[in-house]
Amino acid sequence: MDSRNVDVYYGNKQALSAVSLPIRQHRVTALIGPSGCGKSTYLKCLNRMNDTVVGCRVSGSITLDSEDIYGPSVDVVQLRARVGMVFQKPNPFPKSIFDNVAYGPRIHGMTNSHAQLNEVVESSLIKAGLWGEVKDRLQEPGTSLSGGQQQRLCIARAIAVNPEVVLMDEPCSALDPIATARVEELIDDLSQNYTIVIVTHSMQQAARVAHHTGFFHLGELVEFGPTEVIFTNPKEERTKGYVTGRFG
Amino acid sequence: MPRHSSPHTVASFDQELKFLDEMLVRQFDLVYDMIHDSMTAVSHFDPQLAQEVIQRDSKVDDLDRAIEDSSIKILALRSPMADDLRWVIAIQKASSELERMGDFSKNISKRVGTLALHPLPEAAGGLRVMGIMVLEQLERMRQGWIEEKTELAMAVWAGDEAVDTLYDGMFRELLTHMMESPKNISSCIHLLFMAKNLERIGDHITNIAEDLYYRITGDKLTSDRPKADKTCLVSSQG
Repeated sequence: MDSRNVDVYYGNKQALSAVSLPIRQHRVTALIGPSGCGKSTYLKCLNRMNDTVVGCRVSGSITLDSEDIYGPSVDVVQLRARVGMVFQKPNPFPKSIFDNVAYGPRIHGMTNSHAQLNEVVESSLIKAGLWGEVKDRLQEPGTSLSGGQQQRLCIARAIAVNPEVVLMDEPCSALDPIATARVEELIDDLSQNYTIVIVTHSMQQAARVAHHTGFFHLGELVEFGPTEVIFTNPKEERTKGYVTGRFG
Repeated sequence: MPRHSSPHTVASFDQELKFLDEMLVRQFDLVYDMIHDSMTAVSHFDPQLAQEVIQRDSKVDDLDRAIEDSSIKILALRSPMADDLRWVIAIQKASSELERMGDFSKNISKRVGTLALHPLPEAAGGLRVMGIMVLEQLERMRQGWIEEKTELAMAVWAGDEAVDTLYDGMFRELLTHMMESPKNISSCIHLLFMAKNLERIGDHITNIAEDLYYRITGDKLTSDRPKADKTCLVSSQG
């Protein structure tokens, strides 16, 4: 996935200016920056979640497999199956654990039989590291799970439709440290098969999970590079100020 | 805190970094005095001064332990990043180098008593010159550290070649004295060990230069450092 010169306006207010950022396949890319810097806005551009925001305009080019995702022939529903999303607060549907994961494959008509659907649900829950904990209670409501389990259920739901890219908007900010560690471990596992973009307020989390990190400030992408470089030897003063806590 | 940075949002973090740096500068001063006084003790064949130097080594060791403890605490509790991280790592590494330099000064001093029994003034001159040169290197290094100057780190790094050259010359000179008279052998061997200790101190100073360079730039001084210690090739058979 790639983006070039992306500008985003909310009405007259420019939220992002000229953001060019490569998102490498089967790698974890973290976006960091202070509140209001544009990182979540950028993330939402990647699966056109901003389309639902009144007055939002996006220009520039964002491509997935060299195809412009804002092109006229793009089916947004299909796009969001290819570019899934996990939100800050776990938001399982008010359905059973099974139905939460089965929802996507059903509406996209991805399976032909109940057995096949069972298989997709099981493999998604296994990939999300949740199968062992829920395999005997698949008919219980998703909301009956703990916060950390709910978030992993949402991740299972996102990957059930076999996306290429998974976007995560502060996926651990509502979780305790143990649940956070499990999600981080999961992100690491998932990166073998999926491209992951994560927005996080925790720099330690970015340092732990991401291969590449981008620092946003006031709607600009200030610096992008290997995570190790961003946290040990950033080139830009603003990045250095932010990661060290010396932000003037 | 790195001197050219803005203040940290958490002021007590800056105080912890500053304290760490102050301990290191204190260690620099103690080691400088130890080397200086051990050389004075050698020049004047003064075992009493040498004994004082030996006793001071524990203070350098104490500072090394205190710096290590504080660094671990900062790494664990503050999770420093970027130049703050490099600052802590570099101080910890430099402190270990200074601790070793203290040990070498102590080793030099330990030999003063024995050397005083059979002084060989004509052979000790080279050692004095080496001592002066090493102290100059250390002073330049301390200044570079305090002022955060890569130029000084580079100058120190390149300057060790001259120390090696002097050591090489001393090695040959002492070999000559030993060949002249077996009575000189004991003193010459002690002087040779002292010279080797000074040469090693020079190496540790260049390691600190590398630590400082990394601390300031985030890069490593990786190219081969010029070296002039060719003593491994010298033989009394010519």
